[in-house]
Amino acid sequence: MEPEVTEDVPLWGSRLRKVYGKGENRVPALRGVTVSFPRASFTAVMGPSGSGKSTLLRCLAGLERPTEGEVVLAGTTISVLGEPDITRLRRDRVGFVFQSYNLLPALTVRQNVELPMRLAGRRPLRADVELVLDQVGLADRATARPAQLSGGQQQRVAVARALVSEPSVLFADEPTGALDTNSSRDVMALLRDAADRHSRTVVMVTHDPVSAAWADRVVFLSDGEVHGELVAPSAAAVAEQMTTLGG
Amino acid sequence: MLRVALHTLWARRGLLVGSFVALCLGVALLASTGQLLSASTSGSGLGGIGRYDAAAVVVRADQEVPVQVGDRTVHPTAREERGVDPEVADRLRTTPGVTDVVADGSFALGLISEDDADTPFRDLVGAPWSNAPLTPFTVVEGEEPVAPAQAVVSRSLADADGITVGSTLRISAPTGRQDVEVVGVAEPPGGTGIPGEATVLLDDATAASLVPDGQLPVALGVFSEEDPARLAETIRQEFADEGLRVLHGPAKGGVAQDEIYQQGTQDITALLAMMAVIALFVSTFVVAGTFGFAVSQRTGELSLLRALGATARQLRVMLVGEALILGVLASAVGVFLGAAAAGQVAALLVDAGAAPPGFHAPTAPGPLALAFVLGLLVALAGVVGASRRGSGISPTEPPRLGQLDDSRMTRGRWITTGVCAALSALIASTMPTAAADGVVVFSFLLAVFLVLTLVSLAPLFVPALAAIVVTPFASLSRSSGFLASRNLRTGMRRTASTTAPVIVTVALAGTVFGATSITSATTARDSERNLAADVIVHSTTATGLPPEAAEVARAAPEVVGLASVTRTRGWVPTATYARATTIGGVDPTAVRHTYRLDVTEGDPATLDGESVVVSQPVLDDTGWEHGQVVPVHFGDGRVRELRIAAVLRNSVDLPEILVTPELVAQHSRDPMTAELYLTLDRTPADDDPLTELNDALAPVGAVATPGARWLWEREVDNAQESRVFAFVLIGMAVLYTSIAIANTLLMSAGGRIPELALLRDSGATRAQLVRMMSWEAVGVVLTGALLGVLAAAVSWTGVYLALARTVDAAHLAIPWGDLGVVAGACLLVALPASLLPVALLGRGRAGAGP
Ligand SMILES: Nc1ncnc2c1ncn2[C@@H]1O[C@H](COP(=O)(O)OP(=O)(O)OP(=O)(O)O)[C@@H](O)[C@H]1O
Ligand SMILES: [Mg+2]
Repeated sequence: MEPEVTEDVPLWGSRLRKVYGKGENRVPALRGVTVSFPRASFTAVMGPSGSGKSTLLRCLAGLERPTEGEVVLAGTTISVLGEPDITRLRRDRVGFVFQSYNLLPALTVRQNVELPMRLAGRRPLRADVELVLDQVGLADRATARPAQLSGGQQQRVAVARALVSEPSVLFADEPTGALDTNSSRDVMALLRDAADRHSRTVVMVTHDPVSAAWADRVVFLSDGEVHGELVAPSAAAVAEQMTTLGG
Repeated sequence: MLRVALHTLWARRGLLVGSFVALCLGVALLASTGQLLSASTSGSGLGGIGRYDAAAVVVRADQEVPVQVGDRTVHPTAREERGVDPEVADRLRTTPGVTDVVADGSFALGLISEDDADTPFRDLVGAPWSNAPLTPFTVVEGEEPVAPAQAVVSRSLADADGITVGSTLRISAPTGRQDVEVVGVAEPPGGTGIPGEATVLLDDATAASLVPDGQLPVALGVFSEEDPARLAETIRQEFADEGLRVLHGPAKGGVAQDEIYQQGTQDITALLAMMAVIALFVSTFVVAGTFGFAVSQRTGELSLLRALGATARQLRVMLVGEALILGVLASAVGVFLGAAAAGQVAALLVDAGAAPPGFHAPTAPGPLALAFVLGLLVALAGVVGASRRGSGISPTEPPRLGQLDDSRMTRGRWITTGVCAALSALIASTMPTAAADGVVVFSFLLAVFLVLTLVSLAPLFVPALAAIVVTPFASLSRSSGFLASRNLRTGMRRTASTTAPVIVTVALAGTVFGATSITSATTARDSERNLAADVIVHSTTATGLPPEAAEVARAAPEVVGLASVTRTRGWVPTATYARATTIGGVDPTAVRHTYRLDVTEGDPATLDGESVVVSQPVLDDTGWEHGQVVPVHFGDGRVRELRIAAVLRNSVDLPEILVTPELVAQHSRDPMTAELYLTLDRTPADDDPLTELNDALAPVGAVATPGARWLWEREVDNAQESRVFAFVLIGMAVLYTSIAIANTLLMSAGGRIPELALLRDSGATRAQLVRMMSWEAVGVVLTGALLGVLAAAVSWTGVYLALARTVDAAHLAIPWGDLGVVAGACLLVALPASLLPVALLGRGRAGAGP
């Protein structure tokens, strides 16, 4: 089926609702979220625990289907696509960095980075891989196993893996949640760079006001709904806004 | 993608070791049973001296006999060896190139001796001295037997039994007892006798007097100076379409060792075939289980791959690829193990007396290749379900520690459940009409499908059931019991997976042990009720009783009634197949005194040479009716049209079809009486030695036993035999499923270490952890045993109902002891496997996190 091409927005979520469970166990995680993300922007999503941040990210990335609403990703309305088409779109246009690094322990650093391209049936160019590994500062650890790396290094490998397929949209769910200040800064610099130098659309969930300050804009979620946003945020302003949300 | 598969395969080797071991052993089992099967259906290859070595060509009768069923003819193998018409010998003598023709006049005989020493011979063969040139036997000591009542024995028999020239042999043969004088010892060239056969060569007149008149020779030895192959071809052309087999070279037969060997191996063939079926079922089952479990343990990894852009199809390809690599490796190793083990098993079978001496299992490429292919298919079959589930994993963030492992009823599971339940119902509904000897097979199949039904339904109720089962223990030890119960309830997949092999083991054991114990207990009770004879007389020699035994017994003062049964075998035609049956020769009036016959129609006393008494199961299968004239096929292939004079509800211990003894004698090679049933003027106690009667019977090679004791001894013998059979079958299955139990527990061990570490950090003592894991193992084994007994109980009911159709005294003898042993074995395996994570925790608990 020919996907419906809307306008040239890299990422747009419209009236997104997501309900988990049935009957007694019904949990509304998103209650109608509309949000759009311009090209080459870096957006942070913040909110109290359980406010639906991860759910929003998964829905936007096509990892999960919203109960209601539409997601337009790279100019394609994904709610009309079948599962294999979504998967294909995702591996061509989307990169994802998880909170826990989620590297395959069986593979070396290079193999982990190459994995998405292999899954897409493309032959990874050695130069491309070297380039992203160099970007994340791990060119010399290409043959190491994840278990031999520090947490910050592992997260940088995960970022490299997300970047290697040159995605137009890059998602990161609490990428610095388990990292110290220095490692956090390294990862933030990488994300900033992705938006500025490579014109990618970056969306990141975080609890850390300092990390959020690296973004162009902060979107606040509470109870599955958008509660305001902050453009060109400073760490102090973010922290203040968070207190009003009770996070 | 294949590279990813290879990498993950290697990294996950711990998880896949279980599947590998299961598959490898399954293939080994299949390979070794296959190799043994192929060995048991081919000759021993031992060769040796044959009876017809000196003849150029041997002519035998075709052993395929025609039986008309419906509108077609089937050709089963004769159940009494067919002889050759003497007229053929006359015509052969005039065939160009033939110098002489010797008819094989051999017959089975018994040697009566005071001491019943074990003899190294299976066959005791008597033959006229004129048969000596066939082998040839030449006298090496003494002289040839020419005068009446003279004999020459083979050197091997003389050496084994201490027979010398001048000894007297007391022979028991179909026509009577005879004492003969040993006048010489003979040897074939290059040996001391025909291996495995004790040969007594008698003067021609005596030999002829010992076989019934009109018995045809089983073979004609043709002597010639010509090339045997050419001569055989000439004879074949001359006697085309006359139902003869013209043989030369090794095919001539008459190698006693080979025939004995083949007879011996036939017995184990059935056992091996059943073993192969169980091996296939159990290994498919276990491999599917371990694959499924391995996939469930990898949910995190698979969902990460999905998140990184792997399509469902790619995951499926990867999982199937892994299974293929694993299948090839495991099958290859399994084939080697199996081929090696077959030799050991063959030796074991010989030691146990289940296989004839000399039985061995040479490497058989066919069965080994088949085992390899089956191994691959099993691996593929096993991974199909798992890969469908694995590829259906959603690409959301992988579950973290502490997330509940949930295992819902998928659509595939519902379909499997439905199909298996429907098949169970179908089998259950056909059981009451199945032939008696099919009941065990049917009950086994029923149990298999019930087990599959239960196992596919397992996630629905097994975890809850296990939690309930373990509750009584929870009250014994407060915290650990409670934790165990919660773990069983919430670790659904794990609980269901570890319970499954226990269900299989207990259900299979219950079915096989139950079916044998129910049938043998029922037969014993039934015989007890129906046997009215006070005393049973049976033979002490290798053959049956000579006619003199009946005379001696009848002459004894205390004997007031006597009946004898001679036995042969044959077929009755049903609408679709030639049904094998047993045929007995009885005196209809005498048999009423020794058996309480349950006559439903007609009067057995009217039995004569033109009629037959038939038991109900035969009528059920053939559709015959009382009064009808029916074709009874005897074992030698000849048909008699006989009128049904009476119908018995069941045949009890008697053959299914009863005719006059004269009729049996005409169609049987060895028409000696198997047993004599006596009524005395008093009822002897069980331990009555019957001294007087036995003193009189000993010279004719017979012994008398009080009826009740005889039944009891026979029951013990039968039970022993079927228990050995059942233990071999079940022992193998138990061994295999134990591996599966250990497998699943060990595979989940890795996943449990963090959980146990957490408990320890929260203040649980090591002893509490040990107790908790032990209760879990107990809960799993008890639940599995409970469900296994449930499946077995359905099959017991089926066997019971099928038996009750023909027998009043059907007895539901349930082998609780044996089942206890099997369940105990499961627990013995489950306990240490469950405790392994606790032990591992003790060593390296620093690395608790994932
Ligand atoms: N797979 C699921 N099944 C059922 N409920 C879920 C599932 N995933 C999330 N939820 C529920 O949806 C709500 C939002 O969850 P979500 O993970 O999006 O929160 P979050 O904002 O990311 O929180 P945190 O900051 O703690 O990560 C929560 O109430 C959560 O319990
Ligand atoms: Mg979250």
